[in-house]
Amino acid sequence: MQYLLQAIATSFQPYNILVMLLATLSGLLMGMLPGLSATMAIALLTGLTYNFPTQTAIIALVSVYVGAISGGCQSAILINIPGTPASAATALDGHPMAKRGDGGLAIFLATTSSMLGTVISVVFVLTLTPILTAFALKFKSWEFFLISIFGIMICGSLTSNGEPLKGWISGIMGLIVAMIGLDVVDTYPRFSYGNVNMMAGIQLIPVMIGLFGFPEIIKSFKQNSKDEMQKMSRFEVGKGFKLVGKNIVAVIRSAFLGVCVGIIPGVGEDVGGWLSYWASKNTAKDSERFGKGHELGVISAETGNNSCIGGAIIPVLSLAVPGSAPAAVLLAAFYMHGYRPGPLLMTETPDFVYRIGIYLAVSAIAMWALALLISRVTVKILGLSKKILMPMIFVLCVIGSYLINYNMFDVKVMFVFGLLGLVLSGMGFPSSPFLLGVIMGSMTDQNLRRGLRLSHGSVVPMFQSPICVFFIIVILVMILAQTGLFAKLFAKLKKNKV
Amino acid sequence: MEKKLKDFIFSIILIVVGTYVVCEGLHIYRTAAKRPYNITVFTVSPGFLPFILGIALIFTSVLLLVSSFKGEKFKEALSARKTEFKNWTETAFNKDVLNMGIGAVIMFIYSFFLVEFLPFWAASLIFLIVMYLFLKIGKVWKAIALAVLIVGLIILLFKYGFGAALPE
Repeated sequence: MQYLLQAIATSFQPYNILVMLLATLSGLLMGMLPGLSATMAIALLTGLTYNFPTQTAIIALVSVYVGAISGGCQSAILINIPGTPASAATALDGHPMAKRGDGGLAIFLATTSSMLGTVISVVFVLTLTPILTAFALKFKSWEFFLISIFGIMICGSLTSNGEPLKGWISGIMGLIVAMIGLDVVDTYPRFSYGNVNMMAGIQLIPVMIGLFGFPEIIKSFKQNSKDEMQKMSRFEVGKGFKLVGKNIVAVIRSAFLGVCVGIIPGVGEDVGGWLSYWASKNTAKDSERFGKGHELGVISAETGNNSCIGGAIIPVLSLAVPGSAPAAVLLAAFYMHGYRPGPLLMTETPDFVYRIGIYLAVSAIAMWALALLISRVTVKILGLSKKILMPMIFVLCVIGSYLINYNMFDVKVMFVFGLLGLVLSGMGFPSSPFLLGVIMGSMTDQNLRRGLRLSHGSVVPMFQSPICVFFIIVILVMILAQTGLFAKLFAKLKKNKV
Repeated sequence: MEKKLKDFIFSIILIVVGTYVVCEGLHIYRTAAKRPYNITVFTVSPGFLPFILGIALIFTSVLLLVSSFKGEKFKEALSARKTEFKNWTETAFNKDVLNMGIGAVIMFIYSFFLVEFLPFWAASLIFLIVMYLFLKIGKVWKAIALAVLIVGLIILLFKYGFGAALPE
């Protein structure tokens, strides 16, 4: 209770309120603009919050996350282009609503559901995180090594559009990049080539900004979207509240589904939105109206994707394994601001979980008020040409990378990883597992070698712990299932039976 | 570029990278076995994980390479990729790609030279004006006005708002 009160008091300090409003607004704008993802919004802001007091920085980062995931609905509804992948399901019914003249109502429903989704997910953050953290205290070196491999593999599987091999390769490349610099156990300089900057290792933030920001900037030089923007009608607040109240069961169900999806490492807010939409469609009596402007479609999709935020933060806090790509960036930001998420979080900084919960809830309410108050002005941003916006964003990318260490080397790192991100996206490789590999690299290396050192180079202890055996089985099943070997095996068995 | 061709080319590049990482892992093991580290057991050496990762990269890249041949005989697949590559080189360098290339070069000059040798405001002003002119957002005065406005706002926000020291 004391921690909750402290967090509330911190949130309502005038400077923090101002930062929260500004960060939420930036998130809303970034989320609204197609091509600028929530991941990019957090990555950009992380570098910029380097000079902030710690709590203010955390408030800014959480607010931009909430804002970016929620902001995507406005472009999905008005121009049928989701601002972020999370709002893809919203476009299905949101845009038809705008076409028939209910754009304002659709935005009101989407924004209110987003707020409710985030607030409900906070309950799960506050209750589940301490339980998971207590369980994670049983983890030793081998368990941590395996969970990092598991996290990268599941992220690779789920973000690769049906080509898990590419996701895994991306993750392995990220792990290799994390090997650059002095190793954490013996301080041996690996892949450094005598360069002092390389010996310090590759900073996460420039890698993030490069991987997620650079490709979008470069691609904007060729894209020319001329989609017709629908006019925004009145919000119809009374009708909107009535509709949300009428569909409260769907809101709670979608929030629960979103949290569950968010907890799974690597599964993003987009899956949360789609799954909630699908569940509502399947349980609705008038399912034939879905896709033609059904209000419940908008409510479910937005509640689902926003509740994923809380869900994705739970494994970040308890296991230091991110639940989604934006959460991976958030994890890196927490490290940068001196927090060590993971099993020891409740022992070292027990207030942090409660702070995050409160910041999430307050920023969700701020997002709701802000989005409704200024959306008539902010939607005009949708009319801005990417050609004007993207060069400005590149300048911000440069500043964001530079401010980490006040070192020009990081700007060059951002550019190089930007090119790599462009190649990866061109070749159909997802960037999220790569980033997760870079984040987890140090943890993987440290725990593998600590485990090996304690067992004098033997891997046998890895097979003696029940938690390890569980992870090994899960990883093996994942490989067999994703590579189609299970299907082949079953087909052979079936053939033999016949 | 065709998907199979993409997988074929990228998997070969990754196999080369993987081989390099494996060799470097072994090299690290050999040098770490000497003074001052004296780590003679391979599995606890700093070269062990890079070695394992290199092997994993080669293995997964070979699988990707094999999948790019799926449904074709090896020789047929090779000649098919060859033809696809030829066709791709004929159409690859269109206006879009050229635009992206020039844009990337301007960004490269800004990140590697302008910001390094000029004050932030001057570097960013030059970059934005050049970029806006290249992207043809309108008349020259519009590009200059926009660039001045953006650089001014950024400096105001970061230098005076956040108290951050921008590159000098």
